[in-house]
Amino acid sequence: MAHVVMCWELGADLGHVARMKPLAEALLRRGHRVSFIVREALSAERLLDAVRTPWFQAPYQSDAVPSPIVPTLSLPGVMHNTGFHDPRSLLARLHAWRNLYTALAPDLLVFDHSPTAMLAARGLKVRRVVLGTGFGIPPAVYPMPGFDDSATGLAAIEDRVTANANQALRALGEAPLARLADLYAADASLFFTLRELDHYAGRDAGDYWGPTRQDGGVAPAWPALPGRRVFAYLKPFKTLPALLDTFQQSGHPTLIYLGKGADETRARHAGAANLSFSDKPVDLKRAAADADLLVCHSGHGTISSALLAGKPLLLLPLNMEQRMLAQRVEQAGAGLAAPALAPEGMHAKFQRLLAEPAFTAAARGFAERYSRLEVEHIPERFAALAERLLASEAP
Amino acid sequence: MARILMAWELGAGYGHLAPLLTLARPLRQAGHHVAFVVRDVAAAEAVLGGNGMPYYPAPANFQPRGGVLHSYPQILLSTAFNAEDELRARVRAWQSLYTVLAPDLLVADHAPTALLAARGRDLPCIVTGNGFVILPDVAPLPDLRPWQPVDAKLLQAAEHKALAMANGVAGSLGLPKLEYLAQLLSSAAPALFTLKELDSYADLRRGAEYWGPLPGPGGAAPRWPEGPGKRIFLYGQPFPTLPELLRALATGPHRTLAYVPRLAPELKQLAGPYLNFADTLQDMAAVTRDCDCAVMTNGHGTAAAMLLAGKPVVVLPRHLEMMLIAHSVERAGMGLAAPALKRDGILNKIERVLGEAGFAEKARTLAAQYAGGASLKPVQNFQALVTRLAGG
Repeated sequence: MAHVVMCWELGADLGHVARMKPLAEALLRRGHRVSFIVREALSAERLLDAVRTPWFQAPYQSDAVPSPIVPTLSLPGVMHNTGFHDPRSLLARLHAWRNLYTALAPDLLVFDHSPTAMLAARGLKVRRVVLGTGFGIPPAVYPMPGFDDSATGLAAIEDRVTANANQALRALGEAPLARLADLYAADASLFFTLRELDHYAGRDAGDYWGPTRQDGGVAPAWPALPGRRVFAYLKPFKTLPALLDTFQQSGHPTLIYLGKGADETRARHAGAANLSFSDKPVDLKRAAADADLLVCHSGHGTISSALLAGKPLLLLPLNMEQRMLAQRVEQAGAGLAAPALAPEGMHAKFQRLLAEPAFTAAARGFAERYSRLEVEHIPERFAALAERLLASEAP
Repeated sequence: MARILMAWELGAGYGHLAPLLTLARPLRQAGHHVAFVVRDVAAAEAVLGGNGMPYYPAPANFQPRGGVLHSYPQILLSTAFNAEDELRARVRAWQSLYTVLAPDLLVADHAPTALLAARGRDLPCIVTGNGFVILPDVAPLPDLRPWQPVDAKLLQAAEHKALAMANGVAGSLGLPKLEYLAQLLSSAAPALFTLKELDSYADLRRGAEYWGPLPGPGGAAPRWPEGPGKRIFLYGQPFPTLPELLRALATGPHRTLAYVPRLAPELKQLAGPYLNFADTLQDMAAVTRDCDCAVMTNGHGTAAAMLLAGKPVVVLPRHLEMMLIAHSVERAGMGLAAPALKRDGILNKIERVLGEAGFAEKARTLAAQYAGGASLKPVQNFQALVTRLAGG
């Protein structure tokens, strides 16, 4: 039986562990051992059983880097700001990853948004799989594409990051990278998204497996009123009160999940008959099935749930990754983005999405195209792939 | 031949790793396998790199809260014990490390979560450090800033909350619970690398053995400015009034050797007949022998080395641990604190420490008591303890 080690280095919250958890469970069912190396132990504590899948702390750049690249225009900029800024501290993290690999003796390494972990695995005789949405797996080109078309000066930033990576690799006694994207080379690259939602449009060869199942949540309960059903999955932001005013004034039954920390905002709308606030995360699949419109910060899970259910989206992206995804949804005609979060813009786009049937039609097209997508089978399919790789000789 | 795991969870800089390395080297030479679990892997590479001892990242809270903290329980609540679910998540990660690395002995320096995770395991522990991180076996734990009034109820509540959190985690993981917070350390053997005179918990410990400060890593011979003036060793981190202080010292009449590793490069231009800058670690045996007093912002080891050489100090404390050292030094009459960090106050205190015979006399009395440190055997004592707990 094999030992599979799943690595998560960059990003935050539950998404990365949530994506790998069903894959780990499929491997356990087949009698393999699975360990996690995670950026945030809390995400593992929330989602995993420590006895069946023990977890370890991942090395990562926890302090802000001294001279960050702002704004980040491409993935090398993100890498610079998350630990590739300095070859010496990068080398320290490479050693720490390698020491963990030595202690855990994995037969297969699985990487989710973990460039340093992948760099550390270079030269090791172990099979590897990289997976994620499009964002964490850059296309194998030089320079890596910009996050939007206007980005310039990408090669210079990438060259700096590549030089730092190669200096650390040299100290480790490993061969240098010809180009930065080579550090993402793996025995399999799996995209847990849809081609249309790949952050990098126009990727040549992508193995798109579809979005993984979203775990649980409570059943959606809309106010019992006539009208179009709106589901909003948001976290507090400055102009949220104006958006809630828009919801309230529309009179449409609206179900809202705000995560933590918006008690005051909620209290202001406590008397609104058409607004209902959920205290717990809502089952996304069921909410998308029942809703007529979804409003979110352009997270991959909510977007894919909405589109696979044929529902349009109002997107309020808060970061670059979300802005890229919002753009893809707009390009597909299945939603509108209001990245400025301005009250008038959010209001006008909300109205348009409800008034113009073209958005719903585009979202339905999506749902029909993927009506035969069997995301329930992803874990078993993954386990089978892992066993094929394990049966073949490591490079 | 034992497997020894050295754990460092809280704090910053090299102040925990450098002493651990001093302890680890002879253990490794004696044939033990030594590994580290560290809060900061970049610091580990800088201190431990190339020594052939592997290091692993510590499960730790990397977003500690700030604020004026009065007691160890408050420090815990703002760092390792920030939330019960996070603490449980990190305890489990420590347990995973124990399972995989299978240590025979845990050496913990400021690593409360590592100690909690070790409860109920057949894993002997040593707690090491200067006095600050080794709690006395008492409840309640004391207010560490008695000069700054605080509501005693707040401190009680903090200790109660920290204890409840530890026990919440212990209960859910089937680990033995604590009757009081300091019991977290009471099954571990202490290795107190300080002097009783510098230990802020000295009055609360019963039968404690003080092994003295660990030897430093050594360094370059000090290059004092030429001339007849008295010699001042200035050591530590930059602070806002440092440029003014250096300008004043540069005019003499005393001779100052400054070692400020993170000094702004332009300030080095202040070097002159009365002021030299050192760029690397200094040979502290030579520095303490030759100087007349030391001025420092941090460095428990430096303070101890000065006092053991019979030299008075002026402490410029910038955080709680150093304030406590400053407090101890003043109480023992072996130096002065200048906590306001104002230029004239610091200069005035330097003059007093150099000019009034009492400070140096008290320091010399202490030095004589310890035979200049020759009677202290910190590393040998530690090795003997390791042998006793983990076998030869």
